Amino acid sequence: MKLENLHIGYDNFTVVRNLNLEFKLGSLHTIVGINGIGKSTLIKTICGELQSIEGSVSIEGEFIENISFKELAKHISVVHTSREENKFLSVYELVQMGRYPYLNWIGKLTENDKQIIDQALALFEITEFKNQKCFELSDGQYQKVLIARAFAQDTPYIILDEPSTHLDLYHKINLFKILSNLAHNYNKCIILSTHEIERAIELSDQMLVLLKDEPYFDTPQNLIDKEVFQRIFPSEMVNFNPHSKSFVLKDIHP
Amino acid sequence: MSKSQKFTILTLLTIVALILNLSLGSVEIPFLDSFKSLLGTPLEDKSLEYILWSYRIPKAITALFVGASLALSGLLMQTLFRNPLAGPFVLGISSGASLGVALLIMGASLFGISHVSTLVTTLGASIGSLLVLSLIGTIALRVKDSMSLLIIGIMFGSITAAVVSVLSFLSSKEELQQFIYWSLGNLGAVDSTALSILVGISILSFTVGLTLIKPLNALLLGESNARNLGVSVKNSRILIIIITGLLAGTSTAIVGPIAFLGLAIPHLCRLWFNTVDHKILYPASLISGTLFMLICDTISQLPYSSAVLPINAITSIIGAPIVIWLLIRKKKMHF
Repeated sequence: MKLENLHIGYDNFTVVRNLNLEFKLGSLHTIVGINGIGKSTLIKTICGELQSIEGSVSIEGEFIENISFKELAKHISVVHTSREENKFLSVYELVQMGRYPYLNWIGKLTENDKQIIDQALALFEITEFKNQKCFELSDGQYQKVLIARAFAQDTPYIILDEPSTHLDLYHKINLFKILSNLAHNYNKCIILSTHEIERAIELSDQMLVLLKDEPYFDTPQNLIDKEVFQRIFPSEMVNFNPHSKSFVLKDIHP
Repeated sequence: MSKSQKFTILTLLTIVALILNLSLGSVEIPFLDSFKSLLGTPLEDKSLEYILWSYRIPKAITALFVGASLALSGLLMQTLFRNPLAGPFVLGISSGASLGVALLIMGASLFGISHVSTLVTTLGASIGSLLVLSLIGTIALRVKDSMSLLIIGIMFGSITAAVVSVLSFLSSKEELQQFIYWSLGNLGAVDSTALSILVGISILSFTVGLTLIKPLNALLLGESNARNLGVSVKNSRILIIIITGLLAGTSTAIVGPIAFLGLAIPHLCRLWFNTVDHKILYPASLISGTLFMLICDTISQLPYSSAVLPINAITSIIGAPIVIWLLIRKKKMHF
């Protein structure tokens, strides 16, 4: 997926300028930046929900706005944070919806579809819950169900909007492990926005750091060397320590 | 109990309710006779056969299709608007119909006509609901999210209701009585033309509506997820509105605004089948709506007496306690 000279935003109000980069298959990409810098806007633009102001997003040479969204559903799957899903769906019902782009008008599953769904359930270790309703699950289990749904959609690109939001530390790390596994062992292109910058530095292959003046896209180590992380937050409260690769609080009460 | 067993029970109950509905009333027809006559055997008692075929069977068919239409419209509206309180009339269709009828009844008296026929009220209701439907349809093409559409529908309802109350304030006792009589619903006054329109539009809508099952399920994940699954949310929304408008509009025009059923039946189906999957809910709502309407109609004709109660009151009096009881028993609503 290539972004070329991409400017994004809403109705002439540009949020992020001049994105030129390529998201590659087999890699885990994270998008980080302070609240309101345009992470969600970018996510919406690359999954075809929002039109760009200038420039282009293309998949395998084809501009995204020229792909019908029926076809796009076979290239990109998206995991939203909105949690709008009806929680009375059973786990199996929710995961099988990942097959919708491939099913006939009434939604009949073929043997192949069922195999893919079973594989998704097994991969995310949720087979034992498959007949439970989603409201009975913990946030950690539910997040896995949502990602299993995206996996069942069988697309080369999986885009996730702040998937770690509702999770505790253990489940956050587990989530990154799962996504990294999908990228490296299933040759997926994973793109996620997150506030877990330290986890992202440890586990992602490429990071896109959105700053006020310009975006940076590179490997985590190169970004550390370029001292990009120091500039994410206003420096009077938090600072980045390049040796421990973590953020440290400044003394707020001197 | 498996889902197919539940469907079998529903279907059997509906057949029983149909026979009861045909047999009971001011004149009692033996169950066996109604059953035989339904299967095409001529009856010995020609007067019973006459009552059955020229009065009770058309009324039962009306009840059947009105019940199914309203239940399905309610299901469509609840899923589209993700709102458990939505029903067939949230878009203002019944208010539009009321306004049409009110205008015709009050307007007729200006020309010195004191009593309007059923045909005229049907016409008024059709024009009223069609107007609201086309307005809502035009707006649906412009508005991006369903929530605004829901609120606009409710606003339309308020405006038309207000105009209707001004009209009733200005109208005479007789006009008011006619209007109230219409608004209480009447399954019995349907002639054969109206009946064939009802049957035709219902069957067409039920069939076209089958293509909505997959988009409706995808909408359970929210509109943006549905879009990411390759479902055209906009097209589905418009088709949902057209089908609901046709179903709710036709039945309101023909039998008056029947409340409650469209709101309650989808909930009863979700609770009983313990699912939100439209592959189940779609047929379940159709059958349950039919069953419920037949039962209410049987009660409203007060067996063994010549009196008839208004159907619109019966649906709520019978239906609301069932929903309350199910919710208390199950403790959690499926929505």
